[in-house]
Amino acid sequence: MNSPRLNTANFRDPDRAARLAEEIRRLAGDRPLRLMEGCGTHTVAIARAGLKSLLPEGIRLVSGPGCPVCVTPQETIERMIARAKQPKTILATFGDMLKVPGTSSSLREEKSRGADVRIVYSPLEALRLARENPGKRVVLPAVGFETTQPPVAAAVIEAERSGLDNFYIIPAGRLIPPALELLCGDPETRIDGLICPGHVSVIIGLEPYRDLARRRRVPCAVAGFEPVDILGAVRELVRMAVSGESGAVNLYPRAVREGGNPKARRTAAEVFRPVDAAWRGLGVIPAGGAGLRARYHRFDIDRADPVEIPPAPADPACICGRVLRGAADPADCPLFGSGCDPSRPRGPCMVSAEGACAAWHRYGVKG
Amino acid sequence: MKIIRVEGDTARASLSGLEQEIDVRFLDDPRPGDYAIVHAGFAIDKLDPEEAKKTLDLFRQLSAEGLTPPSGPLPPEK
Amino acid sequence: MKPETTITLEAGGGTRSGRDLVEKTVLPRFTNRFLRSLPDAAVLPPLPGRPAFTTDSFVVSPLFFPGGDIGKLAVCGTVNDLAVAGARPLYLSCSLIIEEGLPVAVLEKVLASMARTAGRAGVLVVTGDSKVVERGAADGLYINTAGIGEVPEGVELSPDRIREGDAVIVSGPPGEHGLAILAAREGLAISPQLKSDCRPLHRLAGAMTAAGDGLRFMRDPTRGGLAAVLNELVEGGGIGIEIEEKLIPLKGKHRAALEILGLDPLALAGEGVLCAVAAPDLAGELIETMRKHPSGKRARVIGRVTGSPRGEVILETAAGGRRILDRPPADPVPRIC
Repeated sequence: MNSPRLNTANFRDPDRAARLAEEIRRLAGDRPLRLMEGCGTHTVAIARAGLKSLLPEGIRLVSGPGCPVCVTPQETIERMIARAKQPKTILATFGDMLKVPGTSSSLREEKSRGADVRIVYSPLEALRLARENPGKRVVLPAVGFETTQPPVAAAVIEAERSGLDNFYIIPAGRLIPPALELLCGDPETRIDGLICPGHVSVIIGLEPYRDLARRRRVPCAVAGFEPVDILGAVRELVRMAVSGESGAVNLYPRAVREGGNPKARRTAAEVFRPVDAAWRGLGVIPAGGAGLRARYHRFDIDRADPVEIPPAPADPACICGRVLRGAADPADCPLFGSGCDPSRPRGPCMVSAEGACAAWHRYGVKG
Repeated sequence: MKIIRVEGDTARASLSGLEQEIDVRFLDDPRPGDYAIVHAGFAIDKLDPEEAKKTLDLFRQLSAEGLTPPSGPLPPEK
Repeated sequence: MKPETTITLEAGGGTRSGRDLVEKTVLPRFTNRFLRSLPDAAVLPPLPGRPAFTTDSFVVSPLFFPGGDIGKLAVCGTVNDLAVAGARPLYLSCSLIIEEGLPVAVLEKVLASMARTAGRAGVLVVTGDSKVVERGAADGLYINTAGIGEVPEGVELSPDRIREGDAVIVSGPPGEHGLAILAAREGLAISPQLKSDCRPLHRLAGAMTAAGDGLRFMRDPTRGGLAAVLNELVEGGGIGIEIEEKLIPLKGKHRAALEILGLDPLALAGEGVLCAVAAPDLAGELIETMRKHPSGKRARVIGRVTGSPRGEVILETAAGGRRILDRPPADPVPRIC
């Protein structure tokens, strides 16, 4: 079988990157433009490849609410920590969650005090833990966007089918388009274009952005994660913004189909439905979260075994909320690099590898 | 990652010789030789090398056009 | 069934079981004339050159990992610290801190690996100690090794000798040890396993010091990786360093794993690579010399010392962007060595 080869190197090619940067400079002139990257993976890729150094002064790339750990409200964090402390409980979490500070500890601290906290890469690993430990219950904090919900849903469906009664989730999924919609109308955020999340778009397709572009008059470009992908998207957004166009373009067609991935969406929709949900920094967003459908309620640990969570005051000095809205840069925070760094994070944007603060800190972005 | 072998809902996939097991239940007709985008242990869709080439061509073409941008948004559909 | 298969707290003191542990398990591995009568201190012959002296503690978890184990690491780590100081490694000490309950078989395996590594490196373990602590006070086994070496006449390595225009060199792919430990610890389901690069570097380092006076400085980038070493060099503010991402040697499998895990090889520890700074006119010859050694086959110039901006390490990324390469803020992989 002779299938064509995928050559990612072309999307990292410095000559292509330089040509696109040059063109961005010419198209933008001295016009200041604010473009938001809607995805944490973009934030990391931009910082890591030093792409800001290739762009003209006036083009500002601001991070959005695209890091799942970062937008998880404090109350949910406290809930996970409380679960980890319970006897006969295995908390199976994606690795990024481990260091997020709660009011009195973190999952990592609980783990070092003897709590059974395990890192999983796939929700199916959590399911396997449940099968292997029938005397314990396994709780998976289901943090993540549209990309993570189908895998979590697949695990829930399997648990249902096999009659597994010790597998639970903390429903904490969030839906991206309602958050982008909110930010497009936020006077503090002021964005002239959206670099739409690549992996989320693989699932949801183009339609949500067409809708958004139509109603909010904002240029949207779905982009991949290589430097040439991102610069190509910036180039197109600048062109659209300068010429006053809006609309949604797919610059990641090697991965994103017009209609997304219906199979994955069907699986997610079988288990989850849109619910109003709190986002850190953004407040409650109508239909901004993924809640369990009634027939899967028994997998919700908070329904199966409610716990009282004392209200969690946010750290008053931390500006993660504003960073998540693109209203402030990480470097605007008084704690950035002095009092808050990835070894002792004060807020979630410094914890998650995809958080804007952590990306800036790790890759020496000064603002 | 490139799919090497498919067995039901699971597949072996490789990136530069590094292999991983992935779940392929969200793919239509996964076959050895397909490229997949992997998230949380699941292939969330295939990667299309032809489309990758077209994107690069598009960027090059835009560059060649310089300051005369195409009118209207780029056609996203095939 | 063997009756006594784990190490007990009693084996710690000057008791019979303590003596048994040393005589039956430890000593047979390291036979040499300095150890024969178990003196409190090894009395060594005079050295012709200047003595170099170093110490390091090893707390790696897990004790065994692809490509090595805590014993091999404890020998290589100290041998390499001597080697990058320009010294020929000669003698090691070996101090064991054992958690009660450690299977004797595990200790034996670690000691065998230490002995094998020391033998191959041509260094003698001439003194040692062992302590047993109660359960929970340590994690299985910790090892401290100190090392003595000899610096040949004329070898002068110091960051003070670095000048603008000097070449920055690595002997091989950075970060492989850190990556292997991380993969082993988190049970990543990837195959083949990623191996640590843990190995002694003194023969490579010896050939480099012999290549000429233009060799200014060497360091093995362990914790904090290459990023930490380069940042230490510019910290005084007298110089800057610029390196190019595309010149950094990486193997395909490691590159893939780094990509999957989202890790930066420059921030990860190696245990079998060194970083050197050399005068530009020596660089070419030095690379040739290095490539003749098994541990220097992928040696490369990756950047240079600059006059501005001072006090910063600048990375030119593969995509052509430029950014500051900072000291890694947090150890991405704690207890790596």
